[in-house]
Amino acid sequence: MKQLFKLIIVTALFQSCSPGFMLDDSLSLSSSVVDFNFQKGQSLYAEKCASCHNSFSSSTKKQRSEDQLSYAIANQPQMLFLSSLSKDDRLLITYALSEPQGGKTPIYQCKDPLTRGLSSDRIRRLTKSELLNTIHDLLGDTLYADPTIQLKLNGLPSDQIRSGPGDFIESPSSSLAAVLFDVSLKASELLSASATSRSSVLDPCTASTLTDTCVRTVAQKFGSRVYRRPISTAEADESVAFYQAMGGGAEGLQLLAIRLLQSPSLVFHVEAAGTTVKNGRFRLTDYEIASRISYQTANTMPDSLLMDAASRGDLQNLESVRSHVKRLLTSQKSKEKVGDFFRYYSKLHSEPVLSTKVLNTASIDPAGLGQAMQAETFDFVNYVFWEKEGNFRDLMTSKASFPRTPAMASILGTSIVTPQAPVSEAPNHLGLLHRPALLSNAGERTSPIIRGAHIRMMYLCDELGAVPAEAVAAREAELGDLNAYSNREKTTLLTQSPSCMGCHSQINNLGFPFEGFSPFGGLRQTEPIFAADGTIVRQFPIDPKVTDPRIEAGGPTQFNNSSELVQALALSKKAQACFAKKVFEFYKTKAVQATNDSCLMSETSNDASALSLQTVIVDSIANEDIFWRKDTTAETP
Amino acid sequence: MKYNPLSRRMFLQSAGSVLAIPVLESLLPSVAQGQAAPPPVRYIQFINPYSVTPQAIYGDTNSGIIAALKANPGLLQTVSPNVRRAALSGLPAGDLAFTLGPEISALRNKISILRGLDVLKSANDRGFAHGFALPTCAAGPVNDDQTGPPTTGQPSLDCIMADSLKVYAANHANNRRLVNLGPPGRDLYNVYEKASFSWKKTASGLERVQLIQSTSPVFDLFRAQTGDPNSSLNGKLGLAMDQVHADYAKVKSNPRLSKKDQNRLQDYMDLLTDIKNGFTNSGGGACTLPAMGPDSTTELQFENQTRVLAAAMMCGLTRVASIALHFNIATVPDAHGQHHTLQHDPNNSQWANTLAFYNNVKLFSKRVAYLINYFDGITDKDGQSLLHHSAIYWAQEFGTVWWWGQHSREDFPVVVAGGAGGKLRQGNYIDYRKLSGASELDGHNGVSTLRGIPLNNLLVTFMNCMGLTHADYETVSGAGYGYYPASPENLVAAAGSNSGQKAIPDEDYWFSTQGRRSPVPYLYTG
Repeated sequence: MKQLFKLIIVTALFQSCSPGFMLDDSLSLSSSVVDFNFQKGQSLYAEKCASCHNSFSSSTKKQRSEDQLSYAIANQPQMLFLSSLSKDDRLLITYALSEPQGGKTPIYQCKDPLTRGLSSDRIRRLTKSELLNTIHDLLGDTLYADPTIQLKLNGLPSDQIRSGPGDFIESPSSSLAAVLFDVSLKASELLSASATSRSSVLDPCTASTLTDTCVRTVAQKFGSRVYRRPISTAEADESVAFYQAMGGGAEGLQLLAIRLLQSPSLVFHVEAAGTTVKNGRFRLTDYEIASRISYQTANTMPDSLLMDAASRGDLQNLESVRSHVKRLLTSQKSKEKVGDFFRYYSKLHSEPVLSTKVLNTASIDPAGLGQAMQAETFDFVNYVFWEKEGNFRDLMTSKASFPRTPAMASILGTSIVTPQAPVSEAPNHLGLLHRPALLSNAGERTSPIIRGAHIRMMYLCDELGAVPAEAVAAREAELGDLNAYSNREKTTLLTQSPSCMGCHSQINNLGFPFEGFSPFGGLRQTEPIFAADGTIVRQFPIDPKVTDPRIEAGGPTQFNNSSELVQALALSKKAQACFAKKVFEFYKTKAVQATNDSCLMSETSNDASALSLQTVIVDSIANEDIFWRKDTTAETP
Repeated sequence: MKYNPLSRRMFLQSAGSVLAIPVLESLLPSVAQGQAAPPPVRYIQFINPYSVTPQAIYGDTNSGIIAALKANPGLLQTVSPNVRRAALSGLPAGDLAFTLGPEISALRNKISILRGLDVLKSANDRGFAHGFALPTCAAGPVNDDQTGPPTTGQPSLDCIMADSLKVYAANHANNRRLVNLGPPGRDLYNVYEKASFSWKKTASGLERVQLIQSTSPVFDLFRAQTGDPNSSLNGKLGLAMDQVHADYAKVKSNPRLSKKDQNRLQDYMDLLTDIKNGFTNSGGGACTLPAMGPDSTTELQFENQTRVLAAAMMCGLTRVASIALHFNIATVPDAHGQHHTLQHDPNNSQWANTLAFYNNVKLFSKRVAYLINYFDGITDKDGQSLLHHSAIYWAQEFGTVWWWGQHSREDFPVVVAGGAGGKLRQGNYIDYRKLSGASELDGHNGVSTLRGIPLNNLLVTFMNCMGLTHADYETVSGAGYGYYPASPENLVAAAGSNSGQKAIPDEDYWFSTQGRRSPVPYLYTG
């Protein structure tokens, strides 16, 4: 019985806590900060709504939600003229009408616009996903599905970011060169053997007798797709010369394909062709911008529309960039990336493991439950992100739920979803943090410390120190039988010394409010203690109330339960900025640089306070930074 | 078979020649050795995550090595004041411990089981005993999530070996200096999916080496040595690779790129050179790689990887390998969760489940045993086995897990094998802890009060086996390898929170320059 608690304190007591994700040091807590979203919302209200619902200050529609506004627009004939309002416009109006509470001070403030893009200071290798998608796009479905090519590609190491940007290893793996070589070899064999493949992958001219003109066409068309930019005349000439030097004919073409399929552009994002230099940065070419748009949004090479836009010079214009990001955001590859982002944001990489003893006591079937919990979480995220086009507030507070089994319906206290009723409402499970997958743990008792630490680190981006394991053990031994205490009592007793409270003052009060939820995420009224045979030997009352939760300066001073906590997070500038920070880390595969990324982060943090999550991601990619890269010409090693 | 016909043609020129591959001096061009020199020592390390409780690897009052030694104290001999050994052959037949299954227990004359090797820590060092740097760097990680490089800034010992001119000639192919394998049975614990325990020095600091997770790329790493005489392209592939290389060189020459970027490109160009060299060398058949079995399961893939590795080591393509043993996702869907649920169980209330979990570690011992056996069956050029000319190190991510629920940097469970060309003595249980009597044999089932000697010195031992000296691993002269607190006194003070904790044995010696550069006693005979 004690093991879980001991695990909890072993893994979650912290030796030292850094200031972490604190307010921008250039901001004063008492400074008057302009809320641009509020201003925009007010302005939109004055333009679209005030004539019927009084001026903003005396509006009859205060506290209306975006759902209510959209319903009225759809169902009130006199409001039909507002149907052209975008989702974000509606969100801005209701954001302003809600008179937002919570932290008022932004975490990021743009310090110097001329530093924008300076954090792009190195050539980055392609991630595994980027490489696989790129090879797929280059080779087409048939060649890509070849078993030998798949076998070789399976040898690439996984490199998904899971814990943080530091997971990403900058250098290509030692096996990458061998894998790319083999793929190029096999693909060239397959191309050599099939006129149909050659025609579709390289150019139709390769289906008949090869000529230098045809090879030049291959270099220009296939080569430009590989390089993600047009091939110069000199490069085309050189390709033809290479083909001839290799003996020409089928073999010459095969060797040209082998060469192209091992190009630097398949290993690295090379950005070095721009000529305009400003403040230590150079401006990217349209084609380099096209690559950034495509890889950041959808993990793959630019499509023909992007390449065409680049050829027209459209991509030096932010609106054009933005339209392409929005277009690509709905692609399948982008949707997969969004899913991966939420895995990263909530560390949802594996299925929850649950205590059968606890489940049996609650008469919940454990079969497949972990998988069902994980699936429900992604159903929820997909609903908020794609179907509802929701914002951060929706992510934190939506009551939508998606139980597909009796066990999940029981845990969520609602009915199973059906094709006729695809969304259920879970009265007590608000938002992402109340998903059973995130509330659950493998032990028999819940863990206020782990729950609190997760919120502190993952959703507020604070840093916490390491656990002083020996001090934990000593304190644990001192306390004796820990089953004699409720979770709250134990946690308080164990962490009450001043040295512990340095961190635990930031952790415990974010965990206690969730004590109203069991180790499998169901609502509970008491906290049971189990005997080895699964019988309940003791029960403690639940006390989820906390004071001084320390979310951020100016934030709430008490919560009565976890619902209040997540509602506060939904309004928290710090939690919103943390979300924006996670988007940045995942989509750009790098850490935020406090100065050089301050302008972008101030924009996307501001987005997260009101606009849709889709807009946060779009703006994280489509912004002024996308045009610039640090000029390292003068740098010494 | 899962390899494409071209690959197989390249390699399987001598079908069925799995063992006893003949080696010709002229075909070992890049490994430094003289005409009359004995075969070189090869180094292989196995590391697995999670570690085990002491009982699971050493036994306790009722089972395993400890029970045998308690029943017959005469088996334990004092070989120096604070070093004791017992011949494993003198222990009762059967499994040596729960996680040391029948396969490795049957090799008791060819392995040694070490106890009492600690990674050092200081009062202000991070308390968590996790970290991918611990068993291979003898230092904690720099970051809080335990995945960062070692605090010492020194590469892991395998990477030091791989970069040494004493191990490889300067022109040895970069991608064959260290073969870092991770059979594909991986778990889902966060970063473990891609994690190796190797940290190499790069232009931008220490960086973790990425694992090769299936057999095919291992095979590919060595393929270029032979080329394919049957391929019509073969004569021109080298020229094509020259052009690929030139394409990268052109990018590298762009003045916009920083020196770091140029270095990164150069590293990749070196890999291309390795491939290209394979087609320009005329060594077809120089290294006859073995026939492969089916590759359909994790175990079969591990066996295939072992075959490729042994063949590559025999013909000098590589001398250093690191193998990360990860839990099989098919049988342990959430190893991390199970580890937390079971291994940190202070009351041992789920002992049966814990043992079931430890079956996975037992499976690791089977893999280690497979490699030992396989290497033992290959005859090197001097008539001794490849095992005799190898040093094999099996450690676990962190030290033991104590019953009351903590990871510990102390008491790293270590199994070693191989003769290292006569420098290592095998067949023993060796205890480096300062014991006052047999009653302390069990060690910690609660808070540890016993200390061993630094694990650092075991890593020094392996580097010595490979011909390296302190000049090869010390960043500050006299500082040794791995982490050391400022002074032994600090170390003792740091132990203060563990009531009754003792000092490390002979700590003044082990903290001296001489001590830091010393291999571990008794095991090392070189």
